This record gives sequence, structure tokens and C-alpha cells, in this order.
Amino acid sequence: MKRIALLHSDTKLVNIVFDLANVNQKIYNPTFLSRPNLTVKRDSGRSLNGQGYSHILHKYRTLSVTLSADVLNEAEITFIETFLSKPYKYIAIQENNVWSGYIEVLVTEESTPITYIDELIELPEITLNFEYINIE
Amino acid sequence: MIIKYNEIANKIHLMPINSVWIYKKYSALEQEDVSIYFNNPEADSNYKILAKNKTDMYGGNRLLGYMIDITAYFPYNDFTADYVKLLDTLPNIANEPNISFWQFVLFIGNNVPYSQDLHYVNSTNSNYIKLTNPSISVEIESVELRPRISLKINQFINKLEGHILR
Repeated sequence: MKRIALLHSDTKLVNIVFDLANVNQKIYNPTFLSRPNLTVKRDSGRSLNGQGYSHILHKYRTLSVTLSADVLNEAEITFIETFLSKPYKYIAIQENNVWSGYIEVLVTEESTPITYIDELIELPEITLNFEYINIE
Repeated sequence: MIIKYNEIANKIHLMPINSVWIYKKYSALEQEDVSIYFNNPEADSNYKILAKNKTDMYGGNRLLGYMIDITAYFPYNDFTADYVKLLDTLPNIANEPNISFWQFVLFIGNNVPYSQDLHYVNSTNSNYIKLTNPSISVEIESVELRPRISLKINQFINKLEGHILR
């Protein structure tokens, strides 16, 4: 089972080792958590003599996580709003009971990405799309 | 808390629905206003508490809450003007200005709301289902030789706690 920890901070973290006791952090059991998906940005085209080229410019990873109504209540939604509004955002992923270190991420959505299952106000669902800050 | 199955195994009681109570309040502190009882519903009255699930990434079902569907049938064919007005009022309680909330209580088994004199059928135990601000709709249908009222109530709840009481 995979879990995800969301951590917000006003300053950049010095130590990226996962800390279970961090007060600005919450741990969730998501309905869906993708594997970090690699995106390779290329500059490709064809030169005057017909030779094709594709130069790798940089690589980065994206990750999508869905939190459903079974883990969301008013307090959790407020925490996620705080998380999204802080300058530094970190995630950590637990797999086979082993936590990764903190990974700094960015989000591009401007409003809180909340939807409601079957249009029921009692069933909120939040899908967060993260992009890893560090390029490979 | 440990509940052993052999301690509860033989405690299965017949508990027919015996009464429906709807009341509204203009504030939480006030006594209930406009209490309506429907007593002795027909035997095919029923309720269902259905799980609302969502499939997760492992193919399992996550329980998000419960949808409560209640249908209670009441034999009645004396449609006076006041009674028809009451039937019109019930589904529109929510639209009244200044309403604080209304509650719906379904009494099951040997349960007596206030001092109503009801008939119990093979019932020594009791439960009740209590819902706040549910949706109410009223239908009239004819069965065999008589018309009857069907009262349909449904609501989504997150947890059973606080809604199914003894």
C-alpha cells in the first residue's frame, strides 16, 4: 500500500530526511497515486542536409494523487489549502512501509482542485498534480 | 471494545417499521414545531442503507458513506382539503423562510414516540433511524382496492453513528 505525506514550509528545507513528527505535515491514504512519470523535453527537427536531430534539453517528473472523501473532511481540506498557498511544498511517498525522503514539488493550478463525487457536497475529492522541482 | 459473535448470534428480533415522525424547528433551542406522525404503516414499508463506494487504485472499494432510502406506505383514502394541503407542505419544508432544520425519525420495532398507542408485531426490541434535513417526496398510488400514500425519504450520510439509534 502506498501513502503520501504532504508537508508545507515557509523556508526551504535543509534536511530532506522524512520526519513522521513534523507538525506541518499530514499523511494520506490516497485513492490513486501514480508512479512518478518522466517527461523528457527535446529540441527536435531536421537540419538543412536532411539529418534529423533530437537533443535532450532537460528531464523532469510529474506525479498525480487523488484524495477522496474517505480521507477528506473540512480540516483536511483546510490543510490542503494551506499546503497549496505556502511557498515551499514537499511530498514523501511510503511504499512497502519505507518512506522516501522529502521531494520538493510545485503545483500549477490556481484554485484548489476540488470536485464532488456524484455532485454530493459530502463527497469531496481533490486531485493534485505535482511537478518535481529538481530536474534530472 | 470486543464484540463476540456468539454473544449476539441469537439476538435477531422481528422489528417492523411502526411509525414515522417529521418535525421542524426554527431554532435548535425551540420545542419542535409542526410535528407530524404517521402511525401503523403497511407491512411492505421498507428501508435500505446502501454503501457508497469508490474503486481505488488496487481495485478495492473505499467506503465513502451511506445512502439511506426509506419508503413507508400508509393506507388512507379520506382526502380532505387539509390533508391534501399537508401532503403538499411536506416536500417543501426546506423552502420555508427562517427554517432552522427539520428531522425525520423512523421508529422500528417496539418503539413508542411519546405516548402514541401503537400495535406491535412480534417485537420486543426497538431501533430508530434519525435523519436531519432529508429529502421527502410524497406519492399516491392504488393497490388492490384502495389508494395509499407512499412517503419516500432519502439522504446521504457519512457515518451510521448518530443516525441509527436504540
